[in-house]
Amino acid sequence: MDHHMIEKYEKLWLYVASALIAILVLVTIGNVVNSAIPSVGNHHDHSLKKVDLTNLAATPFATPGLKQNASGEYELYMLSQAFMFNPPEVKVPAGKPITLYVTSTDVLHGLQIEKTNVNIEVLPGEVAKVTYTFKKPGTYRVGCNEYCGVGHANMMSKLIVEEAK
Amino acid sequence: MTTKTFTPSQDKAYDTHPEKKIALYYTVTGLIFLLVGVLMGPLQALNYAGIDIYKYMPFLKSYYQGLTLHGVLNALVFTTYFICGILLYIPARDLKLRPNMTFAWFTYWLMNFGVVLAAIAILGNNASVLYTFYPPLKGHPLFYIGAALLVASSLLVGGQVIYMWTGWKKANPGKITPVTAYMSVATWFMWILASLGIVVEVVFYLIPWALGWTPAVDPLLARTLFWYTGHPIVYFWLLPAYVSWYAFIPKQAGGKIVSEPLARLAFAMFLLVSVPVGLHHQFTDPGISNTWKLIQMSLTFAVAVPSMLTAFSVAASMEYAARLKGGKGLTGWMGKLPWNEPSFTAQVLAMVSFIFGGAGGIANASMSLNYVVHNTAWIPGHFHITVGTATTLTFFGMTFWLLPHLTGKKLFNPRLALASSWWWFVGMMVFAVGMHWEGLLGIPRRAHIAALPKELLDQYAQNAQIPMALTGISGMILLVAAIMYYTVVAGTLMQGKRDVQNAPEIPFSESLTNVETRKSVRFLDNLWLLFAVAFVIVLGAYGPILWGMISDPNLVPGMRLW
Ligand code: HEM
Ligand SMILES: [Cu+2]
Ligand SMILES: [Cu+2]
Repeated sequence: MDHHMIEKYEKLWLYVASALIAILVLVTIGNVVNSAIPSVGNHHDHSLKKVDLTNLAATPFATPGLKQNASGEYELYMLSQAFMFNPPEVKVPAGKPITLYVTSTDVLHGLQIEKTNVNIEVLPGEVAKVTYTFKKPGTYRVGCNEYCGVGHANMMSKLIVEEAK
Repeated sequence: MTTKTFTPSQDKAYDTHPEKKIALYYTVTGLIFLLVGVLMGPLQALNYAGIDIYKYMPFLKSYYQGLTLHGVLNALVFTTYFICGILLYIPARDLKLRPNMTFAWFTYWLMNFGVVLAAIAILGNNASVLYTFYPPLKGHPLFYIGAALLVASSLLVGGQVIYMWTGWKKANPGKITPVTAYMSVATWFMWILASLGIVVEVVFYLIPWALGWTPAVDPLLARTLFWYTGHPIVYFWLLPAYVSWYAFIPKQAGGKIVSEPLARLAFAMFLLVSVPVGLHHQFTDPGISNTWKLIQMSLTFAVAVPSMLTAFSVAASMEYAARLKGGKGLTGWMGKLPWNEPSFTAQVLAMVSFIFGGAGGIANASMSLNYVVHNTAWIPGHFHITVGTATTLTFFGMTFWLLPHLTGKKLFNPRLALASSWWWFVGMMVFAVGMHWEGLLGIPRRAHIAALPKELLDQYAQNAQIPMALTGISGMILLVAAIMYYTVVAGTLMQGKRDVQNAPEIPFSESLTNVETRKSVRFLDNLWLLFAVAFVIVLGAYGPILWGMISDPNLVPGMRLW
């Protein structure tokens, strides 16, 4: 094998590698654009992007929990705080899109719902918005997955998905 | 080499090359810090097996204090010291220039000073903020000041190498930079551009805030600046390993570099696109639009290309060497490689580890898959087979020739050195299986789960017994590997006898191709130009995002929650 041969193979490999990468990029962009994943977005329709933590009373976070808005859609407001989620346990209907709004009152936290792709970095004052539809009823563990202090590992709660009436 | 023409006294190792001594100090100091960090590792692995032994560790106030030590010492301190040692020494020798020794020692002591300051804060449990130190968790000011000094001294070392190289270019007009020096200098240029984020974050925001001069910080801005540096820093850890794979492994295998032009292209590409990719750590962050996340994701994938080139070229160089020695067949040639050489074998195992690590990295970087693994145990599973093995085991492999080369002392017990490399590799493979698996089951990273009340731990453990057991076992294998490796290092350094004349040389490889005539290579030698282009790309990929955050800040006060 001389170096001309090697260089030929090498160029070939360069093209194959680049093509593979290009396919991966396109597929992923497709997934995100088609909302195949519950992505954390700063969507244009997202009016509640930030909240003033010294004045939460003026926001829907004043009474965290599940709400139905004027058009009957489900909105779930949650607060992350050291070292618990508020509300600590919450019931939501299966089969209906739930729009989760979450922020932190103190430091960074994470919010991950097991068996789903809902995984959010929760920053104080920044409101994350994610829409998800639970297909199966059951109890889902919600855990904090961003280090927030000594009680980090204990920061767990439950989401109970009930059969829609 | 020049050493041969002198007849140095047998016990004066540094007479002909005083820069050997600074390289030795940087690398060995780094290894000592790594030892402290690594000793925390098995405790953490046991935690992920559901076994809590922190209550027997009176010197640690919490799991998170130990984890801060582990992350900071291993990922930030060890890597920086070791890289400053080799990437100062190796390009200097390749260019046949001597660094200004006074300045080089100044940078070394400045770095020590910084690390001591940060250590005071961490050991007093006043900065248990982990190695990512996301505000508004607020550590002691000494922690941030120490971190700033660590980075600043590494930049001074990089500046010194670039200065030497610029002088070499002036003195050798029209000549092409030798390949090893080229790769080293490109790495330093990349790091200078890459470090800007953390420098701005720490110096302009965190230090004044920790000192109480400013009341509040913007957590999203700080995170964004952190990850601006936090991703390319992994290339700062990886590229020195690539330098060794490209420039030394061919010689160590008994052959030559088969594709020098491609090696140069790979490093030029790293310089151009390593930096504007940090948003792939923030896919799940609010406050950043998906458009920017997707743009930086695409750039992240572009950086995979030079790594794939490296895999090809390095494998081709080894095959070339093996066939020279009569190796035959599609895979039979592999038997002709020097597997009994600890330095060679450690580095090849590091490469194998990187094949898996790189594949996992592509999963992490793809925005849709990232939602499954973000901040789960999968992530430490991933970076222990990248920085924890691809980089660390390569550095271990390098020390097997470097320490004898620098000191004139014989490698202590080469068989133990070989065994330590295998144990490390196997340990990390088992670790990776355990942690990736735990992550897929939704077990979070950075969590002291072993101390949870039983019913909470069971929520994690019920379907994760096997991966948890694997993680625990891997911690024990790695502890043995570390003990073996450090026995070799200590045994080597503590010998009284030196044989300077017969010490191993730096294994610079020859090249199969002549590059002097190639236009492309000549063009790529303009590293200042590439640096400027890289800067413009970064401005484009980060400018608007950062501007948006700075002009609409979200300020919150600091807090101590540990
Ligand atoms: C004896 C060998 C080692 C063992 C058993 C080990 C074990 C672990 C474990 C179990 C974790 C996860 C802790 C958690 O998320 O709570 C961890 C984190 C980490 N390890 Fe290691 N490790 C070892 C060596 C290394 C090396 C060589 C490096 C780098 C050069 C390294 C860098 C890190 C970093 C950066 C973290 C993340 C810390 C954080 O999340 O703040 N480790 N290690
Ligand atoms: Cu937490
Ligand atoms: Cu990254």
